[in-house]
Amino acid sequence: MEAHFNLAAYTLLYLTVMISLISLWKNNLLIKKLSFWFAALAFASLTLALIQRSIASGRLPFATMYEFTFLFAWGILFFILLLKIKFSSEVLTAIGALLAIIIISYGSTLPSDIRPLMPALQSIWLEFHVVTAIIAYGAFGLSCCLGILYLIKEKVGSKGLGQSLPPLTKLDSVMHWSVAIGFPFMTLVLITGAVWAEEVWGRWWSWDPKETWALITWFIYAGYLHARKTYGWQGRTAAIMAIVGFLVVLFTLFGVSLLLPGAHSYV
Amino acid sequence: MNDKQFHVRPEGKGILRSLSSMKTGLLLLLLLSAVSSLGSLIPQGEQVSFYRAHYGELLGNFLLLLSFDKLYSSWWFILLGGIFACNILLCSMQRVKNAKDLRSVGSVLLHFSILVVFAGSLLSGMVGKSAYIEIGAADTADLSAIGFPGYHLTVKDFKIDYYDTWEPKQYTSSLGLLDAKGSRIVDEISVNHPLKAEGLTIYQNSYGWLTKGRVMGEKGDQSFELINGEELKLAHGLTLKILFVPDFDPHSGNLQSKTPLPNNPHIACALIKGEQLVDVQIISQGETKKIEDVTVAFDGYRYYTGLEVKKDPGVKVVYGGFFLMLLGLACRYLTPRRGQK
Ligand code: HEM
Repeated sequence: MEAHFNLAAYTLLYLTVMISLISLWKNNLLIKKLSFWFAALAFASLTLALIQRSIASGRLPFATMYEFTFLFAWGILFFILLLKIKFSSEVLTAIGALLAIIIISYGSTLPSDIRPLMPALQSIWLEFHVVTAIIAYGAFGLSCCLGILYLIKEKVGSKGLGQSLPPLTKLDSVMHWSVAIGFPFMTLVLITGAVWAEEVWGRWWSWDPKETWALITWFIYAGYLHARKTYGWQGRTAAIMAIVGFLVVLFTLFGVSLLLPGAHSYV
Repeated sequence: MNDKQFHVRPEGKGILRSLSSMKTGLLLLLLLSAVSSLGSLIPQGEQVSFYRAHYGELLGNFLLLLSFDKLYSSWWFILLGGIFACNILLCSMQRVKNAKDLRSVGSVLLHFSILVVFAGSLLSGMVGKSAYIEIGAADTADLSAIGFPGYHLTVKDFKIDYYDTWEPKQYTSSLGLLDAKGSRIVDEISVNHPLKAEGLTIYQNSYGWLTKGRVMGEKGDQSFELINGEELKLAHGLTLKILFVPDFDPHSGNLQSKTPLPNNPHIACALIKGEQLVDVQIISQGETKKIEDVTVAFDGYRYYTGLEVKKDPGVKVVYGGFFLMLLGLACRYLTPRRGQK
């Protein structure tokens, strides 16, 4: 069942990308609507897959890298869809769906067997830690997509592709909005992780590579918020910082697990 | 409110002024990020020879000279952290006067909380101590041996729960802690559930088997109790290496334990002369066997539990910092902007 829902989500995401691109040269309201609804359906399938897995394993799907990869894609889609309350953009939907496709494709190469929780993972802090991470990384994923939109808009102006994009100031302020959501949750990720590490190992901070890179992520977004506030670093610089910030998130999640072994390597 | 107005210009001049500037703050964030990432790329805490072999004589020596092998506890990393703390302190001191509404109070609180976390880690570094100890089931250890005088710790029992797949579900030690004043605390600890009492925290960290037996000789028996995998030195350059197999499978002929439970306890005894393996014998419990000229008896086995014992008042301060940070975040982000909503 889970595999079917995942496949449905995957297919729907491809359709989302295609329809969104079609809507760029066929300016038709129905196609625009379809782009959003395909993304929403993909999100729903992914949700069902995760629920199915929770039922099958008798616990929340928070324990393996496979599971977290799907949660990560889920969080990004959640924020992409949530952005509808600010404005709707098919280019954004396409970029978000593409990002989700890449993440899910990578996730599908990971071992997917359902494993019981090892003793170190049996903690309420696992739940807090993962939930806050989904929110923080989802919001950062959105701000990265918006950063890309910003650079596109800046390049093409209001011609062609740029026509369908909101003005630069709007893109910048919404990007700030999503970083300002992600940042407090990233803070929570670090705190819940520290408290958990203290409970399980007796060391709330041990400079393990994953911890270190999460802290670097936090520094980067703190830099984003401060530079904006005090120097008015907006626009292009901010967009680049949002993109770099998310690349660091990706490295923390995948790069560190692959390249830098540490205490976190079981997730 | 315009937040830009809220950011006051640095006061004073010279070093104090630049130390309190946001520019310095951003530079420090960048520097700390860069340096911390280096620490995750260069393996930490290896032997001196490792760095010379890996990075070459020149670069390796350079890295060692600047403590890149212990980057996070090097003097210059701590100095960088100290400057960072001063930067935040000076910024916050300037901004605290202007903090009028809940949002800006939240922001100042947030910055201040970072300093509290710093102070807590500093306190941990100065007075915190922790040590690892292995205690056999039913034994009592005097914790002064590992730097905690006045405490005696008894391990009444150790057990492992398994899933159906024989993957471990939980490790549990039953402990009795006796302090100098004679008060006794009895509790069970498991992974994620340490014992917190008398200022001590005791963590379930590891476990293993102890095997008990005798080496028989003309001058009497030499009894031993060894941690699984440990070696026993005998006379004439001989060494005895013992592997415990809790559930020996006589049909498979290998030393893989069928289950992790001691259903059919055996030991595999290897007699080694110098580097040379002389012979291996598999001995069941209660049995005595001859390996070349050495006679070994296998008498019994039991678990030992590996515990981390810690006393660290800094952790409370750090948690206080976390609490303030959450409070600051709530004030900062959960209250609407003035003039909005
Ligand atoms: C150079 C000294 C610093 C100054 C002048 C400064 C100033 C500010 C200002 C003006 C704000 C927004 C004010 C408000 O919330 O109303 C702020 C927010 C914040 N600062 Fe700093 N800051 C400094 C250093 C730092 C550092 C080093 C960190 C830690 C990485 C940090 C963490 C935060 C956080 C977490 C926020 C909340 C995010 C936000 O509201 O934008 N600050 N800071």
